[in-house]
Amino acid sequence: MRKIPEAIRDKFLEKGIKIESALTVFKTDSTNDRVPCDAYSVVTEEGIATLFCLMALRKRRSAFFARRKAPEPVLEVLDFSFTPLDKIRSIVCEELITGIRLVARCDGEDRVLLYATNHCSKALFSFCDDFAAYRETGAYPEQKEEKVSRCPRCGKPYPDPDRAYCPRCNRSVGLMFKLMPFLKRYWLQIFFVLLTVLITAGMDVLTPYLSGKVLYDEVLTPAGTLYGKVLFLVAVVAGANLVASLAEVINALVVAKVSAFVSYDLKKTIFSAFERLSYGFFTSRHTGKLLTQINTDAETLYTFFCDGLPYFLTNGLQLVGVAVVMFITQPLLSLVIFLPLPLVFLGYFFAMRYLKRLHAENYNISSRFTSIISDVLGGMRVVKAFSREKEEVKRFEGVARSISASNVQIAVASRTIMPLLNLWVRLTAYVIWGVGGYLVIRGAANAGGGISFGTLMLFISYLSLIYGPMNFFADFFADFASSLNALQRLFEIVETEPDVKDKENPVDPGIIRGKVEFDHVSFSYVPGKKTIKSISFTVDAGETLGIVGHTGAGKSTLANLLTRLYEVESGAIRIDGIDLRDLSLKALRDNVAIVSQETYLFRGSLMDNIRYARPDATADEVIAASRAAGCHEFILSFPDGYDTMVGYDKKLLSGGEMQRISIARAILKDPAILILDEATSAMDTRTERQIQAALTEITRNRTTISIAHRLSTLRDANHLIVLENGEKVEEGTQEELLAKENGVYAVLYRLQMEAMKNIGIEEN
Amino acid sequence: MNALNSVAQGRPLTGENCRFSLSPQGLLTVALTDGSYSGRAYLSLAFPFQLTEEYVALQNEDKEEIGMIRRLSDLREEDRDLVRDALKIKYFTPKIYKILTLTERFGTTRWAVETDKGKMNFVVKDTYKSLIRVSADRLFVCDIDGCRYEIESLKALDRRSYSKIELYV
Ligand SMILES: Nc1ncnc2c1ncn2[C@@H]1O[C@H](COP(=O)(O)OP(=O)(O)O)[C@@H](O)[C@H]1O
Ligand SMILES: [Mg+2]
Repeated sequence: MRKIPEAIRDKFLEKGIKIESALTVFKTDSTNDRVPCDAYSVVTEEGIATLFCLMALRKRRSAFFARRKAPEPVLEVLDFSFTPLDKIRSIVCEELITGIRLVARCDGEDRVLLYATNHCSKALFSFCDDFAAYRETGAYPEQKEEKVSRCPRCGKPYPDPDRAYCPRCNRSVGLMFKLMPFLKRYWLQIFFVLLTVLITAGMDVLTPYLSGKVLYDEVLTPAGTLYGKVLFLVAVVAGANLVASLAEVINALVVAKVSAFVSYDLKKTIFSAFERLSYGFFTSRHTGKLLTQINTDAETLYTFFCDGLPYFLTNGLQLVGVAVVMFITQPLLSLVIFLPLPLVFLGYFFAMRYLKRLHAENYNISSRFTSIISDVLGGMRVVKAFSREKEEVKRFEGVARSISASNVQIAVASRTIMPLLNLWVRLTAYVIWGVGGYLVIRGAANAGGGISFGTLMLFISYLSLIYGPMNFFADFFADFASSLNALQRLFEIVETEPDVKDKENPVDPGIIRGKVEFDHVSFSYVPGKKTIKSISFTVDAGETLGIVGHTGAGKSTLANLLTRLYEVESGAIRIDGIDLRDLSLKALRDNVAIVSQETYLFRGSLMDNIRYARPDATADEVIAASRAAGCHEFILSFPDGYDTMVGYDKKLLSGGEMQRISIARAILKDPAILILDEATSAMDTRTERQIQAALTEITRNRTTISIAHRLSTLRDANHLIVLENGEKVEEGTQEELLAKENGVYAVLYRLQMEAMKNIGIEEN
Repeated sequence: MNALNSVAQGRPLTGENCRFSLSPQGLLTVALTDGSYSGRAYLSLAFPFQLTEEYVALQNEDKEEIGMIRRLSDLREEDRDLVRDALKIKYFTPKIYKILTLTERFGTTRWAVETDKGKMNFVVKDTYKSLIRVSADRLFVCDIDGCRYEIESLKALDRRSYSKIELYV
């Protein structure tokens, strides 16, 4: 049971609530005036008591004591309510827009127990369920182990309660470390990269030293140690340049290769993670957007590692090298040079940030623009049919105008800010030239603190090495953040714990006979709204079960549960007596096939689409399956036959044709258990009849669960169940159900028969 | 249009055919004068963003529509306020008037705001998509648990608050 703070416990005891014998305790977060607070409710045999209070850790006044003692918790009781249990028939959650009203249905009238925000909805809905069970059985249900919705490392709740992933515990440094396994395989190449970076940076620092200081002070000065050896110096400088260029080329080659491989590895890992992830992960977000995001993220990482990081390393090393050489040669002038550096960096940094912000806005507008365009193009038929062209053009114009405004803003900003910043850098350079020139003259006059001409030349050529890359550094740090974001998102997918996964030692029974049992199965997509309510039925191996019910009754949901796209909430589903959760996912997927309401055709030929589940199927098998599914003839009517490419243009096939293809797909898979979820709903009655014979053939001696709107489709079912609002309301053979005078099935059947007669089709 | 009218009229509710009252516990109840329904009144606005005084559907406990109040002014004066109060409770949304901090971390934003009901903290996923723009000036923020917060007027926000959400609106 939930722990209650000591102070609260005392308050309850004061009010005479027997907290030791509490059935349950829960916490909510709002007063009845909807002001945030801590509200504790205690349910005992006598009644439900709720204490609304504010808890604050108030700091002690005296600073001296504050250091020794922990801050004192201050409890302010706002309100207290008590509702006797004997009056309450049931407790329900009434959903408001931003919260929940917990209402006790008492004899005669309803009483408000409390208000809470949606943050508490899960807890409150399960309390209502538990309370109902308590009223029914007299025993309060065991408190279920709360599904871990908190990060075990930091203890904070996950941002997305359905996914065990904590962004807080995956901060920058950790992220980079996580990339290590991906990089490890390329350690040799990475070693080369680092080596070449070191060489390039070293040579870049050395060359100005040779062509500046050594040239003027040693070679061209009569007193120099290398006086007159111009050719020698030129050769050395040329050599250094050659080595640097060579290193650079090798570096670029290796980096390009490694980052391409790493980004490929990353993408591969992500897409294989997709397979593991549960279906719910995908239905809860926009798949198209997800894919684009992943692709851009992988690209971002590629540019970061291919362009950003090596360039950063080279320039960083150079900067350090230059600083060392300069401070050794002439500390004072170096100080003058380095002093404005942070300011210049910050200048660039803020400029970049501002420009990035403009670009982000621009990106937002452009994506709205593209979505409008794809909306209109995709729905062109509807636009034309309702002659809405003018309005669509207007909508388009509005967004187009804001894009152009944003483009102008970007152009103006980047053309003014950048030249101004560059001017500032140049002004800094002039100051240094001035100071340096003055010091050279002092040096010539042998006054103290002077420098040689070579030193000035050296410093001036170093100037570009120092200030040149500032622009890049500023950019790099801004990019760094977005690369981390990209990396974060990728790992978020890779590391999400799937809610449907194989248990430790899953059972793989080899051959599955196909007995299916639903044992008091309950399920809800959203907390509190039970889509499936304690449904039980059994289908013996080889039998056919028909499921009938209105739209939204939960028929497809049963199919989703049996294919384990979602996990049951309570109860169990068994295949051949093995709990679905114990059965290996592979065995399940190999033995269960579903033909569903929506058909998806992948890009490729019809042939490939039909043998999707069994790529090794021969042409003969594919044709046989197509014949059985009634799609052979229309496929032949296409000029390209089975080689017809689909998936690019859906309009090629009608809904009914696509359904027949997916039936062929299922037939070819030859599963032990076949689920037909309104598999013929998009076909006209005649076509349906045609393939009915084929379907009868396929379903013979195969466990089949057939969901249908048209009851005539279910004639061959051994057994029928009727669903209504997620509950099983009737069960039996067709005769038994028809025999019930006012049974749901009988009524539906009569209605459909009449409708059929009206349009001139008589069923037997 | 005539054909539509005859099948989709629904039952108009006015001061003539319904009476609202508050239960001793403060919950709204309704009784139709023809006796076809009496009990708790569950209200839903058909256009909660734009029309808060019109098209109010009256439903029973199972969310089946009993009838529709075309506009609140059709009701008796004393009923109007009862209905308004009940709607206020159902559509209650904290109103943000100051954004204290707004930090983005990997696409998820954490907000600390001051509302008419006090300080609140919440987390928004997919921020750009979770803002419902009702008009150029007014918007709703949806957090990960489905709680809503209203910004009645963007213009009325102080500059610092506005600059924090500028990127998302
Ligand atoms: N992914 C989902 N998330 C939330 N609710 C869903 C989801 N899929 C279906 N539902 C809801 O579950 C109920 C049952 O749906 P379904 O099983 O598809 O009905 P049927 O196949 O009988 O027409 C419907 O009320 C539907 O709105
Ligand atoms: Mg369905």
